[in-house]
Amino acid sequence: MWLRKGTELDTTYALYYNGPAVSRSNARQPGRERFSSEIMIYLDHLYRVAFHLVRNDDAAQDCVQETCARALGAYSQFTPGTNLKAWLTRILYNFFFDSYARNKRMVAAEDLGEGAEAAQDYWETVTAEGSGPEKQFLQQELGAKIGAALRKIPEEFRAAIVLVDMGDFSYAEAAEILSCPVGTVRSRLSRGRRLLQKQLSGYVEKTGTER
Amino acid sequence: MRCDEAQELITARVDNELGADECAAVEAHLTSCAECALAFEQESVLKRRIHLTAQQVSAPATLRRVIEEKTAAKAAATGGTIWRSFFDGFAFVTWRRGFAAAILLLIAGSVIYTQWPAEKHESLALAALETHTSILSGKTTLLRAVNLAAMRKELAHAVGDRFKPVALDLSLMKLYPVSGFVQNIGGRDLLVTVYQGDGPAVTCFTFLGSETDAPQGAERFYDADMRINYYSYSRGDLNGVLHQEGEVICLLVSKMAPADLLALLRGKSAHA
Repeated sequence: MWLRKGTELDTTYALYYNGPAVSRSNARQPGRERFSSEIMIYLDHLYRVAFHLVRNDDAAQDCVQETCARALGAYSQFTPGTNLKAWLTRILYNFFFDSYARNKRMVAAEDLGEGAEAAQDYWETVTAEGSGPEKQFLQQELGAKIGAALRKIPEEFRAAIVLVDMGDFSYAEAAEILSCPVGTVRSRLSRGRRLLQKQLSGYVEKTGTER
Repeated sequence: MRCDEAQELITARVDNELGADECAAVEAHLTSCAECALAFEQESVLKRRIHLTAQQVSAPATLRRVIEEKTAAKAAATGGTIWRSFFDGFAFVTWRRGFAAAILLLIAGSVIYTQWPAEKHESLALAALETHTSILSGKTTLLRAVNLAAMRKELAHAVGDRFKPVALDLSLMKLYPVSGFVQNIGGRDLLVTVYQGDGPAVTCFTFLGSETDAPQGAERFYDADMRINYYSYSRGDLNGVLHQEGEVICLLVSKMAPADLLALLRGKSAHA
């Protein structure tokens, strides 16, 4: 019983197999265990990205598990010293795109205005001068509202926002992950944020400052 | 600069992604246009809010634990075997030469395989019994599958979707699929699904083959209604039953009585 070299098979073994086996790539890269532990450093980040891309906890967990399995299976292809976070995120995005985004009808940006009124009501209930715990509570509410608004945005815009604003990637890194030009990232970000502002218009338009 | 031209540049300014020239141009526009200055301020606030929102989300503890277990198991599975030593040695050989040698071995193996099918096939059926024993004894540690549908999909994907693992409903016998993996025997991939529960465990093997995969001496049963041959064989207290569906062989191995195994397999075929 032995392991054939190759990403696809390795992936399967990583998920479901724990019998006596060996990968040839193991012998060539002694740092596999360290690589595993480095992946764990980015688990929160991966889950965050997945959660906001697939908009569902179960699917996000599947996404992250698949990403880790694929990364472990293909870890010999990773160049030590380069950007592991971006490499992992690209694996995750590719899986997301193949499994969820491809062939999925995009929501027309023009259809996204319906939540704006409710959002305005919500923002008006947020007091500017809250006590510590109250502020914390409001911040959580705010987060939920932003998360909900983000879910209504078409995937191409949402992905750019998730990568740059949530994942702290530069335009160049985001472009690499999304396999598109840097200018496209900038354009998608600009349009995506405007769609978000439309959703959260009460907050953004009235104050222009943080509460 | 017109306001519509400034829009994307404002976004890039918020993200500190502008070069010196563009940055100076945008700054000049912002000082002369109150509307764009407000848009810049609003976008900056929004970016910070989105960032804070992201920090509120973290990976569930269960997900962290599952991945830690799987990566640890993967590491354990890849160490401490005689094969490890073999492949460690292999690593010192120039990779391409090694690959070429592997191709030659594969070709040679294929020739031997086609010239000597009976013994090869029999070894596969008997090796399946060994795998089942290894699972029962705990030598092969099973990783519990979290998502069975995903597991089946992955297993099929691992063999290039040439075939899928047979799905059995053994819930009436209080047996449920708990794990699966790919096993390579004699150059052939077998999809292995393990059913455990209250009764004797059942291991289901799915692979591409023919009825010649039944070992010599296996008893043949013919189902006239379904027009299917079933083959039953035993070694020690282990029993195996297999049948062919198209190009796919489904083999069940268990300590369960052969008649019961046969009934399971026939039930599966009736509902297929």
